[in-house]
Amino acid sequence: MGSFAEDAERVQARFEAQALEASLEFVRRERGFREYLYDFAVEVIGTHEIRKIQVYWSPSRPEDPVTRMPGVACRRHRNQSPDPIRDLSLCLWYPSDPLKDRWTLDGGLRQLRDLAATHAFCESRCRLGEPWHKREAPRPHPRPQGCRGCPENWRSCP
Amino acid sequence: MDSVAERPSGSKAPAEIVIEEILDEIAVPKDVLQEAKKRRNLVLEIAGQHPAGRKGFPSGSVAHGTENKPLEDADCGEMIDRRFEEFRAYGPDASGVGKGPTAFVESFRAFIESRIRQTYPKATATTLGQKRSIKVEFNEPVDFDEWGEVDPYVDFIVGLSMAEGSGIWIPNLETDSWDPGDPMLHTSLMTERDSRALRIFRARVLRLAKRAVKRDAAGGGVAVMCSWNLSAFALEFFDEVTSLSIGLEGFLAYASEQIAAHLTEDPSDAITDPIRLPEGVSQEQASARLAEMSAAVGRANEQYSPQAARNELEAIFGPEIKEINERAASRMKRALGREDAAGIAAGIGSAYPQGGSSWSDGIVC
Repeated sequence: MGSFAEDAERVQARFEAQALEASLEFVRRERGFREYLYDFAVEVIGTHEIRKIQVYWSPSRPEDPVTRMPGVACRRHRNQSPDPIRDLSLCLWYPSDPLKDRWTLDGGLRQLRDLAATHAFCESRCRLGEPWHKREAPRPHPRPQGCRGCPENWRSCP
Repeated sequence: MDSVAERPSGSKAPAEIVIEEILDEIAVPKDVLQEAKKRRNLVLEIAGQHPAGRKGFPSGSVAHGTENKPLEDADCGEMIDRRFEEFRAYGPDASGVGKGPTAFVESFRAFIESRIRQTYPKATATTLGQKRSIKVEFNEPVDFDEWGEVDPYVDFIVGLSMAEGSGIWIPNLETDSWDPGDPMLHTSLMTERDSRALRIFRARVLRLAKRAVKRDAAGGGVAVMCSWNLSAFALEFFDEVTSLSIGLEGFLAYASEQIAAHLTEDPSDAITDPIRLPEGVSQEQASARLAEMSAAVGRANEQYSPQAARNELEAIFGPEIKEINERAASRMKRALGREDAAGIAAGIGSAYPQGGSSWSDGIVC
């Protein structure tokens, strides 16, 4: 059994491995002791947009990344939280999905990038008045309070 | 604060990815191209049956492999045997006072029209409104499911072989006179000189440059240069195969520098006058516009993502980029709707299949 530092490095290597393998371009910054902020960008399919994505992640809580997309927020699938880092972060997977469809530590940063790219696409179409194209969790998804992403076009939510 | 940047290596440059998308976007569908060539070859076959026909030749963009969508026509011509009594009096180098081409072209027009109707009963051959060619219209649209109806016509030129050299005299029906031309040499230079790899690369860059230049005319402005002028520059410029995006940037810069300095010499010795710029276009204007285009491609070449490169290239390939974006969005919507994991992955450029749900109930996931 390795030291805490060695374990943290191993976990971090797992988190980043697929991203490196997939040649994902990202910047990693230390926010504090073993707290990291990853910056990268995703292209929004079918638009001119390139959205900045920020992932807050720590090897001490490896299964709990927080993914944010600054800029205009379609709140339909954003989290609400008193924690300013978590508030308006992206809801990217459903815990009751089958394992193959959920985010995993081995998917790591690469999988967060993929999920965020799909999410950014869905938000862009939502702002055009289209339904949420990705499968939604089986529950109502009312228009969240304070959503200003598409005030003119919203028609897919009750 | 510790900061580490990770960048991809060895992958295709973002601008190159987009340039290839644009090439696909402007490509003439194979079925449409085949139909146009079939019609052109039929006209050539008929022209070859004329007693004075000496040698037929395909010409223009289809023959040069530089055609873009939408393809409206295919060009070709027939060189006439001037030993034939009927045609001996025509041409500027005929003995005595050489006759102009009007009657000469009319005899061929009638010959082609009557015979082409055996295959295409509604076909017409006309010189009305034409400066040089006989326009053969087939009036028989062909429906390709994916591309809709197409009815390509053929522009056919009858030319007199020059007394000396490889060129031909081609008709100027506006002035009833003859101008020197060398379409066979042009086609040969474009399709036979240089290695196959270089020819293909040159043709692909030319297709991009032609589309960019013609776009100006489509937008209500003026194309600063004719297609053949660009081709002549391409024959001078390219001697190696690079990436398309680098090649296009360099080629447009070269064309800009050259046209600023002088009008372009035709590669044929038979054509002594330089290639003219379109009416109302000065060398300075042409140079400036081509430099702008080169700069746009240059900015795209500096981008780190395809979308950023697309945004730069939109300045010269706007409709193509819009079309590409719309199609990508449609594909993605379809893939998400079908929960097609591979399709979603392709849409976002991932090697990993994609699944899962979005969810939100107002609390932290």
